[in-house]
Amino acid sequence: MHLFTIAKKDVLLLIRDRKALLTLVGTPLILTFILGMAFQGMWSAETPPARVLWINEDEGEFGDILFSDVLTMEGVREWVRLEQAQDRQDAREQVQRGRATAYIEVPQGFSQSVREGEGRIIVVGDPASSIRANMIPRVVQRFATELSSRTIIYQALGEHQVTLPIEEIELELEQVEISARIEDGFDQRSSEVPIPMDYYAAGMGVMYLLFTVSHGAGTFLREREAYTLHRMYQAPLLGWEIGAGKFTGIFLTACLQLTAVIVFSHLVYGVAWGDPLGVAALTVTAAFGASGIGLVIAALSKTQSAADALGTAVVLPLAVLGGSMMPLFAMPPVMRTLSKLTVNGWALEGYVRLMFEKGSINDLLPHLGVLVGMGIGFVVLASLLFSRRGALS
Amino acid sequence: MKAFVEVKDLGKAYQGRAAVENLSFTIPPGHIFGLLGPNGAGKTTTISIISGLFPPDKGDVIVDGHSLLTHPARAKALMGVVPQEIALYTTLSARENLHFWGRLYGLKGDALKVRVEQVLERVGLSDRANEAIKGYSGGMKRRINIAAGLLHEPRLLLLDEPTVGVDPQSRRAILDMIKDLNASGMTVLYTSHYMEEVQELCSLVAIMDQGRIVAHGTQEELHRVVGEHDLVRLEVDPPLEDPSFLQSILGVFAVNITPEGVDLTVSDGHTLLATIIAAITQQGAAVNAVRIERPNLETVFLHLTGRMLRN
Amino acid sequence: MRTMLLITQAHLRILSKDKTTLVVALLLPLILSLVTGLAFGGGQTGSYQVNVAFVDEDGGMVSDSIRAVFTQEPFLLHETTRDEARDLVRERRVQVAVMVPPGMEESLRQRTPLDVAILRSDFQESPRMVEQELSALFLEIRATAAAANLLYDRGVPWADAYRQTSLLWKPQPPVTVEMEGIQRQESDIPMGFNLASPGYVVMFGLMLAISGGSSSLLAERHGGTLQRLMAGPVQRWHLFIGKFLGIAATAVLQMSVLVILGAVLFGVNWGNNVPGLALLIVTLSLAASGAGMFLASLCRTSSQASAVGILSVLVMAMLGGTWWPLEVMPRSLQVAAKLVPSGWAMEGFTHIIMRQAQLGDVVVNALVMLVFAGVFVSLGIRLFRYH
Repeated sequence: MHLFTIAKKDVLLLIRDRKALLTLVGTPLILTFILGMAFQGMWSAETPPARVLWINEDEGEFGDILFSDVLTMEGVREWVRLEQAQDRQDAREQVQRGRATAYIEVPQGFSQSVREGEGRIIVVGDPASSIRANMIPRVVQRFATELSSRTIIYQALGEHQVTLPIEEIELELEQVEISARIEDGFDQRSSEVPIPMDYYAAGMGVMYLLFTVSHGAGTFLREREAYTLHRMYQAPLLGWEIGAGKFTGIFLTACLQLTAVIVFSHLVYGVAWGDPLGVAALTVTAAFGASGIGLVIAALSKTQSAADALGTAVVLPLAVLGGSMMPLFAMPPVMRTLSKLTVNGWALEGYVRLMFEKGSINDLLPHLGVLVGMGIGFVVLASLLFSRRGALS
Repeated sequence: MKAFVEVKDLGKAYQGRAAVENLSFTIPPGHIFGLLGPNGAGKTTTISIISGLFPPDKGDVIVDGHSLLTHPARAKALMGVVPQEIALYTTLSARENLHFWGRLYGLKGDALKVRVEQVLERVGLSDRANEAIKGYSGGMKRRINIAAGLLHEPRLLLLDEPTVGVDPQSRRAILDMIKDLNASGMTVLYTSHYMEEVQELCSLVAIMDQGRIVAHGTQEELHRVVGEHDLVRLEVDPPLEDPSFLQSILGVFAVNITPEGVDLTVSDGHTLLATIIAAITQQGAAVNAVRIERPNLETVFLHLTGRMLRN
Repeated sequence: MRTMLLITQAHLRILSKDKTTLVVALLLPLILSLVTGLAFGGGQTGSYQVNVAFVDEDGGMVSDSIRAVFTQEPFLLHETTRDEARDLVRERRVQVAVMVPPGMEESLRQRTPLDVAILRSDFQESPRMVEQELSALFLEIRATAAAANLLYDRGVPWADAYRQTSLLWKPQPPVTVEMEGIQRQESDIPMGFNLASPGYVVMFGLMLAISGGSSSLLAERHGGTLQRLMAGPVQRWHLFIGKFLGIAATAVLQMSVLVILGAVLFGVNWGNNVPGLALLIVTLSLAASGAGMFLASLCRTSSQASAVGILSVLVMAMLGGTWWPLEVMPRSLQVAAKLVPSGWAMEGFTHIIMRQAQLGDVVVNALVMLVFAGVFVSLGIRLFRYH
């Protein structure tokens, strides 16, 4: 088959091109390493605590309970650094400028008004801090609800002219237990949280898969510029064999690149890619779909440098949409929908299922189908473009 | 004699401009057929069509009875093509390149290996065959470029300006190799704008200009077109602005300004020389050097088109 | 000075003539603003929806109060059975399933512990949101049930006691928390919507200037025009600065396209402080172009520069906190953010976009980026090989 002769030669060309090889296989591994390291410590004790300013003008006991008991209990004190503020205005401004994460104010007469049934605590958060500034009101809110609970129980009992000592109420509250339990909705148990190193190994691998096919598009045009493509047309081959051969070449180099990233990241960083059969199937179909993009880039470009430029312009936005940079599961809904339009989005989602949800090849059937379908679609598009312009000009 | 290659009424236009028009010629087996013409005459277009790179707008090419239009694969299998450009993978070695091209021409296994070694031997690069081509000199690249066209032992070899940008030594080697190949029975189609090469190699010549064949035949037949004419080449200082006064001299057929001075096709150089020099001196210019050449393909071209080959 | 500007002018003129470069230089920001615009454009938060499968096997008053939580925005409730809920989750047609077990009221009355199961479909944030909502509600249910139990022991029918007590929580509980400047987290992104737009302007800004700038400089060396300029009566550093300004001008243009198109077409939030935004765009462009020039001085070919460029932009983007908020990263990385221009740019944009900062608040960030630009350019001048 001439098709494989051409494809084999393309693989050989890539292997000989040290720089390209280093870029396409080495860079994703470097990036994975940096990203993995960076996020290893996320949410750990390594993260500096949030600075929280407070003012307590309450004369009663509830204000004290909040600042000396609730905000210093285990599970909260690790990530909060409490600091008493001198000036209300100054404290608010510090939060507004992001120098402190939040400001908590318990107004004058708070304990008294709680007993009267209308207490109020003020929490001001840094608008730019969506995570930690959100955690603080949650703690305060919980405290407020606990206070409300007791107030309401007193009120309810009072309506039936019942009065009970506080100890009995506390005892009753302890006995009533209701809680929420999160479970995975899958048949198999999944890992608790996605491991950043693993996620980014897949993310960067898939992003550089796109760079690989864009590089492949460049070699297609390089053949035109070097007239080796012309020479192929002069050999006794059929026209489609050349196009199919180049496509197969891009496809094989893409498979090779992605496999290299998978193998190296597994051996060096211990990334667990999951079910081998699923990984193999996904890798092959992802490479197929991406190769289609490569062929379209080749069909749209006139020279190798134009293909490189167009490639970058196509790859980076696709990488963003496909979740190589900001994780798929942390994306806004519209982005997540858009990622369904990209080859790399489907590929990455597939790898995530294999890695963290312990999926098997059966769970990936839609992914495999979509990737193959997209690949065919791109090949058809590229053939139309080529036949309109002629492969040689 | 039955024709081995038959080119029938080829026509090809790019964006409405004709690159070749009504092109017909035949090559009998065992000949070296030269396609001579200045740059842009349509030689490369012609050879590209014959090699099957793209189809003609009209006409056909028959190679050993196989039509290029109806049986392209069979016709192409008979041909070896050596393009004008170094169409090779420069990061791969010569041997790897030859293996690749050999496979595309249907060679396999041991047969392929043997042929690659033979061809490397033939172009004298066996000892450096494992080096990447990008380290080769221009002449060496040319030789591998030719070697790639010889692998499948084609019966027809198409060479498009194979000596462009080559040092004299390599050029000599290439020309000798073509003669050798021809002697062993290979038919050759050779294009060049170097008159000397065509003159040395080719038993049959077609002269092309502006997409048409202006004359073709054996070299003797072509010389006869000019008759017993000489080419008189003069170096003149300062250069002549309007050489038309020379045309009025009896016996002068064509006048052509060159960078050095002026070229004239004349009936008898030796007798007319004095008159010509006198006429030029009268215009206030001095003749610094004189050369008289016997009829050759250059004179034929000049005679037929009024222009020089290399302009 | 004049020669430098002439070179800048020449750079821009060449760029406007070279079709491929021009297309990419304009196309890239256009595509990028399309991406950011679609993703972070206006009206997003409202359209966000969490699909919740709700299984009520209790059918009592308490499960009604749980159901009531999920009939409000941003939840969309699908009443279903236990088996169907599992299927819906497995097929990812809902993000979360909430399953209220049978005999819920009974266990509250009997004081036996009770679990409400939440099934999640993947790693999205929505299960956490549901859990938080439920936890808050469970505190109320616990208190209400405790009151009902105490009253039941004293002869009041349980259901009546529970209903009456639950009304005391309405319209609002006795103790409330008043929140200012805190966005209720309504999306799945842990960082919130607004962090994303500064993140993208910084990352893409770097990308455009660094990869575009370095490869254009190297292309000029490769094309031989640099040698021709060198042959003229121009000092080397004039040449370098001239090119630098040209690349920076292009970067300013590209980033402005990114920001303006995003704002006009998609309503992306870039804050209200136009002068501050402009100052940051200009200084980020200078710093990034400087980095591009520095990169060019380390690389031989433009393809090398674009490969290394992409690598360094991604690393800088990540260190600067454009993908993930710095607030959750380890201390060492929070320090590292101060060592890259992206970190300073990110902070500046965050000030303007989310904290409504004044021009004066971002002057420090702008100055630091100018210093980065200066350092990069002077290193570039020393190291660049003109041949």
